Formats: sequence, C-alpha cells, structure tokens
Amino acid sequence: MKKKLIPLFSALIFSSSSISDVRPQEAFQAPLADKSLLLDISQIGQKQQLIAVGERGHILTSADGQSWEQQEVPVNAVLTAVYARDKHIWAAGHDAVILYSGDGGESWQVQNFNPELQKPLLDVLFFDDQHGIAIGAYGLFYRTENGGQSWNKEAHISLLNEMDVEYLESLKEENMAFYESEMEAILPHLNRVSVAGDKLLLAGEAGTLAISEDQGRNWQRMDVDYYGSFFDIQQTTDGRIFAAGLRGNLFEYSDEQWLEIETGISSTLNSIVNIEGKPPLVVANKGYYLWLEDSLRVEQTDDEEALVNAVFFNNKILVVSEAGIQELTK
Amino acid sequence: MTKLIDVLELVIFRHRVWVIALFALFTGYLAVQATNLRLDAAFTKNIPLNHTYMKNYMKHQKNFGGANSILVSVCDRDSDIFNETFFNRLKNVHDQLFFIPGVDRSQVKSLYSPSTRFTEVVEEGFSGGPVIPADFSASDPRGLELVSQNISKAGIVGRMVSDDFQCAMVNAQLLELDPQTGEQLDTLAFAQDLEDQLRGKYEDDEISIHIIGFAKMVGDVADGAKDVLLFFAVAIAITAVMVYFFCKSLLLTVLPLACSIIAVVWQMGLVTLLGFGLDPMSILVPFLVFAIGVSHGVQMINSVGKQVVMGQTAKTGAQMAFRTLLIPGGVALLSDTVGFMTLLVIDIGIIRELAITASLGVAVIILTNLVLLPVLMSYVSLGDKYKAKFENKEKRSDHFWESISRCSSPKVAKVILVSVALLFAFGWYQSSQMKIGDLHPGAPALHEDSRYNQDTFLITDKYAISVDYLSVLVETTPSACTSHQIMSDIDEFQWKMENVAGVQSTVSLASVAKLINAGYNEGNPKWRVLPRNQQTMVQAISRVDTSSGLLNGDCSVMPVILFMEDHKAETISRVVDAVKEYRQQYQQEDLQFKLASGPVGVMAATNEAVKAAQDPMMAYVFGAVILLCLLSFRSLRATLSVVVPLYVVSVLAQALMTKLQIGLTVSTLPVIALGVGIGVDYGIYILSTMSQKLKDGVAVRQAYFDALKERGSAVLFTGITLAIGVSTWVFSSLKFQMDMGILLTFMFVVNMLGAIVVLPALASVFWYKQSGDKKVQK
Repeated sequence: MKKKLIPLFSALIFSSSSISDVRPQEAFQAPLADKSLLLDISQIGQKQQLIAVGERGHILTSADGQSWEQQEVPVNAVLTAVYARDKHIWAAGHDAVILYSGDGGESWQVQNFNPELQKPLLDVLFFDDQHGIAIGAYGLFYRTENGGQSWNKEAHISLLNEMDVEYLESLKEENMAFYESEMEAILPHLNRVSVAGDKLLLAGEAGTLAISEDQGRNWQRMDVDYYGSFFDIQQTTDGRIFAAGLRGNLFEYSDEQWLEIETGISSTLNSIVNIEGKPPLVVANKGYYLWLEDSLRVEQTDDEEALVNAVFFNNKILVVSEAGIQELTK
Repeated sequence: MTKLIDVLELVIFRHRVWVIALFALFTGYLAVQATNLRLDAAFTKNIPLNHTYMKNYMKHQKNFGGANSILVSVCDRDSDIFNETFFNRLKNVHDQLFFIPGVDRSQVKSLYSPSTRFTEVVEEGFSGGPVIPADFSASDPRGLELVSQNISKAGIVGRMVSDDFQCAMVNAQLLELDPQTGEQLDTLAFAQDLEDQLRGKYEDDEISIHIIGFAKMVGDVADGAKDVLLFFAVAIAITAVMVYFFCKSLLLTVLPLACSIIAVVWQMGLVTLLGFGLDPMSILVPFLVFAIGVSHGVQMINSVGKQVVMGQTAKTGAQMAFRTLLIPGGVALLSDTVGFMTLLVIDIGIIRELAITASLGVAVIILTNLVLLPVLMSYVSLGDKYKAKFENKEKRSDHFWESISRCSSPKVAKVILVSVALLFAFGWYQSSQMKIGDLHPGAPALHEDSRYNQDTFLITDKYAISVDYLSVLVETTPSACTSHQIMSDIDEFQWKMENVAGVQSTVSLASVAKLINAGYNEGNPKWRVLPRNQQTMVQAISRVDTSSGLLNGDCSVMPVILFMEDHKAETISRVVDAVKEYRQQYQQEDLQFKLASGPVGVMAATNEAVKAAQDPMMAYVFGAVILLCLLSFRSLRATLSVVVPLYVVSVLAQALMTKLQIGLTVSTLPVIALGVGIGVDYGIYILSTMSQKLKDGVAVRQAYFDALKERGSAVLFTGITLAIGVSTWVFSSLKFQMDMGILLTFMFVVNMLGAIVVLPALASVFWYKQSGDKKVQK
C-alpha cells in the first residue's frame, strides 16, 4: 500500500507543476549567436566543417572557422555537448535534450526531451552510427542501439564508491522507491566520457574517474587522491592519460596511479584537447590555457572569459568560450 | 480704437512726471526683487514628467534609483592603482562623497563599500569576502596583492576598476529631496561641492578625478552660463555703438538702451516674485528681452527723430510717435508674447519656465518701450544740429529705398517669388530630415572638449560601463522571480534586445541568476541556466540583494538594463521600437515590459515629447500670429504677406539645423518659436504703414516706398543689431548656446530680409490691381 502511494503522489506533483506541459521551443536566430556562451565544438567528419553548440539552443556551423551560420533548431535549451560522426551529428544538453542531424548539421530533430527530469545531459558519444551513450547530471546515463531513435536510461552504481554502494544495497531490500530516489541523489554528475583505444574513460563529480571495457555497461572506479570534480579525462595522441578538474587540479595516470601535476592556477580546467603536431592543450576558466609540455606552460587570454573546449582546425586553435568563438594565438 | 489711443495719449502725456515716478518706483522695487534671483536647476525640470515613460520611471524610482546618479572615477596618472597613494585617495573620495549632502548614503559604492564582495568556488562550495578586507592597510604590499586578486575574483573589472587598472570608480545615487529638511536638492550647490570637495581636494599631479552625472553636467553648464554676463556686456556695447551711429545723438542712444535694461530688470524681478529661479538652460532670456526692447526702442527714436526733423517739437514728436507706434508695436510685442506662451504646451519644466519668463519679459517691453520711452523722449530737446545731420541723410537714403522698392514691381516680384518657392522646396526637403534629440556623444549642452565631456569619454573608454543605459521595467506578479517560466521570458526578452543594433550589453536578474546557478555548480559554464527547480531558483536569487537594482522587495518588478553604444536619437528609437515590437507580440497580463528608466529612458521620453510638441507648437505660434495680424490689419492679404515669409524662414531654419547637425532638443525646440515671435515684428512695422495706404488706393510700390522711408531704416538696423548681438553666442563655452546663437542669428537676419524683399513681392501679387512699374514719388 505504502509503496503504491509514492508514485501516485509524485504523479500528482508533476501534473500540477508547469513543467509537464513544457514543449520544446524553437531557438531564435540571433546576430550575436557566435558571441554567445558556447560549450562544445567539434569537426564534422570529412566535410572539413566545424560545429559548435551552446546556450539558447544555438547550433553554429562554419566551413572556415571565421564566419558562422546559425542553424534552425527545434529547442532553445542550453546545449552542452556535440558529437559528429560523418554526416550524423548528435547534440545534447539541458532538459535532457538530444538532437540529431543526419545531414551534417543542416536540419535537426528532437530525439529526446525530458524537462521533468530537471537534469542536464553533459556529454554524448557514439561508437558507430547506431550505438551511443549520453551522460549527465546525477548519474544520468542514456544508451541507444538504434542511432538514437530510442534512448534507454541506465543506472551505474559501479560509479559510486564502496560505502555508497553498500548504503544503497541496504535500502534496496526495504523500500524500492526510496532506493531509486536516493540513488538519483547520490550518483555523481557525469561530466565527460572519452575513448581510449577500446576502452571508455569517464570523469565526474566528487573525484569520480572511471574506466569501462564494454562500452560503458560496467565501470571500474579509479582511485585518485582528490575529492573535487573532474571535468575531462582524455588519452593524448602519445598515449598518456590526463584528468582535469576543479581549481586547477590536473592529474596524469601512470603506472596504475594518478599523479598530481602542479598547475599554479586555481581556475577550473574544462577540457583537454589533442592538437596535431603540438603538445596537448588544457582550456580553463578565467581565460587560462595550459600547454602540457615537459614543463607546463600557462597562458591567459586578454578578456579572461572562461574557455570551455577547443578544436584544431586549419592550423588554428579555435575555442568555445563564454564570449563565443575565439582563436588562441599564443 | 483711435479714441482709446487718444485717451491714453492724453492721460500719459499730461502726467508725464507721474508716469516717470511710477516707473521709477516699480523699477526700484523690482530691482530689489531681482537681486534675489537665483540660478536654479533641477533634474525633474528637464524631463517630461507626464510622459508614460516618466510616469513609470517615477513610479519605480524608489526601488531602483533613478537616472540621477553620479560617477567619480579616481585615476592614477602614471601607474596602475595598486599603490598606497591611490588607495588612500580612493578612500578619501569615497568617504567625502558619502558626506556630501544630497547623496543617498546607502547607494555609495566603490571598492571600499562592504557590499563589494568576491566569491569563488572551492571544493566545499562558495568562499568569499569583501574585496578590501577589514584589516587592509594600503602601505602593506601584501595587502595590495590580496586586493588585486580579490578584484579579479569579484568580476568587477570594467565596472568598479577600469579595464587597464589605472582607475577605480566611486558611484552614488542622488536624492531628489533632502531627507532632513525635505527640501528639493540644490543641484548647483551639489555640483559645486563635488568640484570643491572632491576635485579640489584630491586631484593633483599623481591622481586625477573625473566626475560625470546629470548634477555635475548642470553645474558645468551653470558655470558656462556665467559667460552670458560677458556676452550681455558685449552685446550692450555693440548695440550702443550701433544705435549711436543710427541716431547720432548720445541722449537718443542712452534712452532706448536704458528702457530695455529696465525691461530686463522688471522681468527678472517679476520672475523672482513668481517664485522661479533662472535655469542655466534659459539664462539667455534676459538677453533676448533686451534685444527685443532695443529693436522696438529704435523704432520709437526713429519715429520721434523723423517728426523732429520735420519741424515738430520733441514733445509733439514723442506724442505722435506714441500714437503711431502703439498699435503696430503693441501688436508685434503681443504676438511675441503669445508666441512664447505657446511653448507652455510642451510638458517639460524648463521649457515652460522659459515660456513664462520670456513672455513676461516681452510683455513688459510694451510698458517700458512704448510708454516710458516716448515720455522720456518728450523731454529731449533736439537742436538744429541734429536736424541738419538728417537733412542730407534723408535724401541719400531716399535713393536707396527707391531701389529697394523695386521688389514690389511685378517683374522683380515674380523673380523673387519663384526663387523663394525654390528655396522653400529645398528647405522643406531638408527640414524633413531634421533629427530629433542629441546627435553627438557626451553631454550635448557642452562642447566636446569641455572637461565634462572629456571625463565622459575617459570613463566610457576605460570602463565597460556606460552612462547611456535604458532600463525596461518588467512588471509581473509578486515572487515572480521564483518562476522558471517568467524568468525564462525575461531572459528571452533580454537576449532579443541584446541583439538589437546599438545595444552593447545587457543585465537583469535572469542573467545574474544564471551566473549564480553556474556558481552553485562549481562555476561550471555548462550550468549557466535558469533552474527549473523552484528551490534551486530561490537559492540562486537569494544571493541577489535589492540594492543591486535588479529586483524590488517582492520581486514583482525586475528591470532589464540595456547598455547602449551611444545616445543618438536614432539608436534610442531603434531600441525603443524593438521593445515595443517585442511586447506587442509577447506581453501578457502578468508580464508587462514597461518603458523606461535610466538616462536613456529619460532621453527617449524627452525625444518623444519634443517630437510630439513640434507640430502643435508651430501651429499655435502661427495661429496666434495670424489671429493678431487679422485683428490689427483687418485684411487677409496683409496677414498673408506677413505670415508667408515668416513660415518660409522657419522652414529654412529647420533645414539649417539639418545641415549643421543640430538636433531638435529641449534647448533648440524653443528657438523656432522665439524666432517666429521676434521675426514677425519686422513685417508688422512695415505693413502697418503700408496697409492704410493700400486701402486708400495708393500704388503698391509707392506705399512700400513710403513705408520704407518711415520704418525701413529702423527695420534694417534692428535686424542687424539683433543678429550681431546674438551671433556673439557662437563663442559661448556652452554648445547649446552656440547652437541657439547660430539659429537666432539666422532667424533675425533672414526674417528681416523676408520682410524687406519677400513681403513687398507678395503684396504686388495680392494687390495686383494697384501694382505696376510706375516710379515712386519721393
């Protein structure tokens, strides 16, 4: 009896709240779109094109990295990540939205939109045209087997530390509904997922670093001596693995251990980017960017806007930032 | 009418001593009053208080402060701000500004105010504190280093610290009323305090102080307006010299000048009695009164002189002049008065004051120059020497008038009228391009190289903020800031406005809430959203204080502040139109986008009020002039002969404004009304002689020649004298006085030409039966 009441009650809450009748709203075509907050940038397959996504459902494409064209998009939610695989592109963001374009970014459809969740998606990754995952806040984890036509939720308790897992297991026996709501609260934000050979690497909230050997169905936590958030984990072209996080925390994985690298800055490191023919680049808040040379080199942009991600294109380093697209010159 | 004049003449000239005594008495009394006249300026006088925008502005002023703020930038001349001298000086300025009466003490903000805080994200959440810690000592280099880091964390570069770290800002809101005495803020005294107590005390070789804001601007305008005394003196001197050459008699020079000065004294005394002060913006009114006085005085001495030359005694001559000039002079002055009074339709305080002071001044000229002057002149004895001087002059000038009278011959008239028509068409086209509002950056009343405008340029250059901002007041339901829907709507509006050309940047509670939400999520830019969860939204909003000016107590009103690239009228109207278009589409019952507050909001209202006032004002001025002409001439033809040239000239004046890039503003709007009011005098004087002769069947050219003989020299003379006097304003340190000087000079000269050249040409058409090429009889 008790068990049945709770879903009913929560159904009542949701039907009375205004969120349930939120429909996706089309993004406004704005002259300043390429100067607005942009959060991810990627190269589109062989087409030698760039795509960037950001606030207000902005999706911009460019053939030269100079002039940007805003695409018509059926939502105006903040888009946090984009993944391009030839002509197939997926963009994910707040309201758990996942957008898909099958024509290299010219037209977009909504594959997933779920504002009731009140959770954003923070990254999206595909293994091939059909199989992919999208991850987000509070352990949000979606998987598709059919190119995104349907997305299924997964919960990965293996991302939690042992103590939390034990606590959850104890709840499971008593009260299934409470178990589920607690799990949603305890699971960390999943900030970034990346490919390292045939493995997947994952960076998340509260010192979460994990590795998976089966496309993210099972995860193995990696111990690290830091309890703040990680925002990226990447394998660089030369095979090294780095993790970057809050307040300038940078770690390198070597000999099965995470070793701290002193950066000397206290701004959040947002992304680690491979740059052809150059050492890896880390972009950070306050306009900081770090070259992972033998001795770390720290630079800062003049306007000090937060740099979120970057791409190497036509011999230029293009970053997405709080103030839109920027080029790094130092 | 004639009977009335007879009675008046009898009464006045029988009791000359009494009349003089009465005038002396009044002059003495009003002179004493005039010494109490104060310069007086108030912010609210400059804005159209009944305009919808300004009603919204006044309604929300309490919560969001108004447009009346003051910015003080303290700059290190050589290095960055992180040194002992600078920080001590900044503290001095902050404290000093805090204690200047008129400053809203709760709204003084700088690095030193406790509300200037930084927050940073740490693993445990937020950490923060005041940018300048309590134990800060400027002499400790480590303290300076810490403050430098805090400034960068607080994100106040561009607002409280200049982009190049050479300056820091202290800003304050002003109170309209003194909280202790309840009296209106004395803006000029306040401006003086700023100058003495801030710049005077704290500016030196190392530190410079830059002050901008309405109060300071008015203070500087008032300082500049003091030059007017000098211009006044120069104008009196020029006029005196010219009058002397005109009448060749010292006494005759002194009398009209003295009577005109008496008129000014009366006007200033009466204005004080009515409880007004003299606004720096209307300081040229006494000057104008003087000029008009002289113009009518000259007609009077001209007329008396002519009588004397013809053999009358001074007394009879004065009486005759009184008789002949009371009607045309009275009508002319009355139309001046009415012309100025039409300015009352404009609902802006200073224009109304200008209307009252100017019409009062002109009305008293009727007494001083049409009554007192002839009475005084009746005592003058003009000897044979005087007569001899004019004997020859008459003959010489007859030849001159004869050639001018050709303007009324049909052939010449056709040429004149066609050229006027072409000129009018050109002027009409140009005047349609006339811009409303300020066309230049900085304070338009002042020159570009003035200290105030230099300071404005420095501040807009070195900081990200601009004094040119407009706030749109979003009125909604109480606690609306916790509603995701309403906040999203505000955010959407803000983004669309930011995309309007001319908007530099924007801020609102919605955009700040997004930043704070990202802050709560470890400063991650990916979380820069308005949370859908109400508790999370409340958490974000609760960090924003009402003193931020972004919300009122129950967050039912939230301004969206649009920082503009400039305050040109077209930029303003583009943005205002965008707001109107947006709300047409998206405004709902519980979500109203109300225009407007902020300095640019005030400008928008003023521009709209000025634009709306322009046509009615012209209609009223011309209506009044037409009515008075019809009454006095009882002839439609005569009226048209006077009014048509007048209208052409006022259109040309607008064309000139377009050409010289002078916008139609609160200060230039009255010029056209003033110009028409004064310009009509010429036509009335000439036509009043002509119209009687035309009625008697005299040929147009002959009638015109006779009129020129009688009044022509006085008309030419006044036109030139007035123009020279007013043209000295070109050297004024105030830009708006310069603009007014140019426009008035133009109106005086061209109206005179209109009366002498165009009026007779029109007359030859209107009275075509009487026109012909027949030579005049001298």
